[in-house]
Amino acid sequence: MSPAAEPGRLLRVDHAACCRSGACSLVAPDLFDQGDDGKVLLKTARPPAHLWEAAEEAADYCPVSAIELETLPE
Amino acid sequence: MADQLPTYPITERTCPYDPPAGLLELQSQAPLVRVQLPTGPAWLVTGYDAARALLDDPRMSSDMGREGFPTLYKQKMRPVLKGSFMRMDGDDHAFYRTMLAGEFSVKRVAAMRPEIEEACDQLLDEMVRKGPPTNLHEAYGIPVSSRSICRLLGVPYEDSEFFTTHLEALFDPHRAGAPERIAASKAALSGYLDELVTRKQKDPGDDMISRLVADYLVPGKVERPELLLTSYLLLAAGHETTANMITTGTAALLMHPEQLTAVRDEPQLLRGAVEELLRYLSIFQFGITRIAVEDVTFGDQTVAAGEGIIVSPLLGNRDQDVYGDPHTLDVRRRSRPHLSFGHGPHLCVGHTLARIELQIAFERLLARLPDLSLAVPASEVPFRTETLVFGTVDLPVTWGGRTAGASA
Ligand code: HEM
Ligand code: HEM
Ligand code: SF4
Repeated sequence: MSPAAEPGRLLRVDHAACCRSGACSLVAPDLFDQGDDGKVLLKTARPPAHLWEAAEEAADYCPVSAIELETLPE
Repeated sequence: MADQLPTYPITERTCPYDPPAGLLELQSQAPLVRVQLPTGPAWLVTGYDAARALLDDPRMSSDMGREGFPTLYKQKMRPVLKGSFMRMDGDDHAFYRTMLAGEFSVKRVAAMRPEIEEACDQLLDEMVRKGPPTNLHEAYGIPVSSRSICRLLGVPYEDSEFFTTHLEALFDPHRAGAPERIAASKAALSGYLDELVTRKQKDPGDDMISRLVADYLVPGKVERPELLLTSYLLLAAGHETTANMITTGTAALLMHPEQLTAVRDEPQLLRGAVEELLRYLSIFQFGITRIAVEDVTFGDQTVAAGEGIIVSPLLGNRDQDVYGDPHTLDVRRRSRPHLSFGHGPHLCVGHTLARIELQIAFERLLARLPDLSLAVPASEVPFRTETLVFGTVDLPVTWGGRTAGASA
């Protein structure tokens, strides 16, 4: 999914906190999936720049703030 | 002084689409405002950020059995039944959400799409066959919702008529049924679910009940009454809400024709349009209740241990600091997540299903009847402002050559 990952942003999910809502896969299917048990599966930790906005949206939609998008130092 | 607090709920609306003025006035005071509920004083949560913070705070309990729990109706305190997970906290609550999560995963719900589409198309065929005008709630909103629930649970086709008849009677919007009839339908549905579990035990299918029987009931992880109660709760919380959203969402589009045209002609707007309609209509209008088990501070305000809160999605969804021009319906809006499904670990378990149902329902309706219009003047469409679920259940619509002489 992420060709020649661009530097800059690191996507992280807290699996223990994830409450299996499916909200992230719904708004950003290119970045998130769910296991059969509903738990979040991260497709890539280094999203390409054109998916940063989707990643931010997913983090906002997560009902338990289990998604974090970090800006990596240059 | 308690007797000087504004009483809640406040229901008097001038325009059915706008929150009551008295409610907006409270929002302008503070993110948390003391109000008087039928059960006593509580904090009304008026702000978006406060709503999200408090609904995702483990010190806020959903346990209605706790002394002082805020409710909108005076009722006897009862301990929460095993399986009534809406009213549980922490690991007990998570157990049931884990049990259901796979059933509502984005993939599982997407797999239901063809069947929901087929149901919508059949209902539209039927509407067209009978001809206009028709009450869209009865012809479309209600049955789209009840058929989707049949599919979710795995109610076989030959039983779906029996099942939907009783489900619809339980939520009869006009309460035409005598209380005994409603009680009879409730008993019929509970009895039917019981039978269904027995049947799926012998002859499993590709559906929720079959999987819960095999993975939870048979290995002894849940008891039979718990499984039945959990399934029943899905009907109770999922049917009327979704049906109402289909009908009231259509009403809002018909009364904002430029918005309807945009959704009809640009199907890529559909997903955002559904979110905007959920935000704009905030049908679960009065709020989501919790009780603080410890002192919880938001900004410079504190909810003390033992105090109740009621989170208003209606106000949070119209928070000026979050939504520009919040009182305008704009299907092209790209905005932060609305609060209509709640927030935190109790976020509506059916949100994935409700969202896909709404997308399909509007898409099929507008594609099939592109000239759909109101069959009465907009001012004659009755809105229910005093019910738990806001909206209209009487939406007379017409289409095709617009019956000459119709009052619209
Ligand atoms: C547009 C339609 C719907 C709306 C507006 C809606 C709204 C809500 C809201 C606001 C909550 C949160 C309650 C709280 O935090 O205490 C909730 C919870 C819930 N909803 Fe929905 N809902 C809808 C459709 C559905 C559907 C289709 C189902 C099931 C098939 C469903 C089942 C539930 C259940 C079981 C809960 C309790 C979740 C929990 O406490 O963990 N809802 N819903
Ligand atoms: C979150 C806690 C909730 C609990 C504990 C709860 C529980 C229930 C139960 C057990 C019933 C069945 C009542 C009966 O048949 O006697 C019911 C009915 C109903 N629920 Fe909920 N539900 C909750 C959330 C919701 C939500 C979020 C909505 C709407 C968005 C909703 C709307 C309704 C409506 C309209 C009825 C029909 C009431 C009537 O009989 O007229 N509920 N609820
Ligand atoms: S949105 Fe959050 S809680 Fe929901 S599945 Fe994704 S990570 Fe889990």
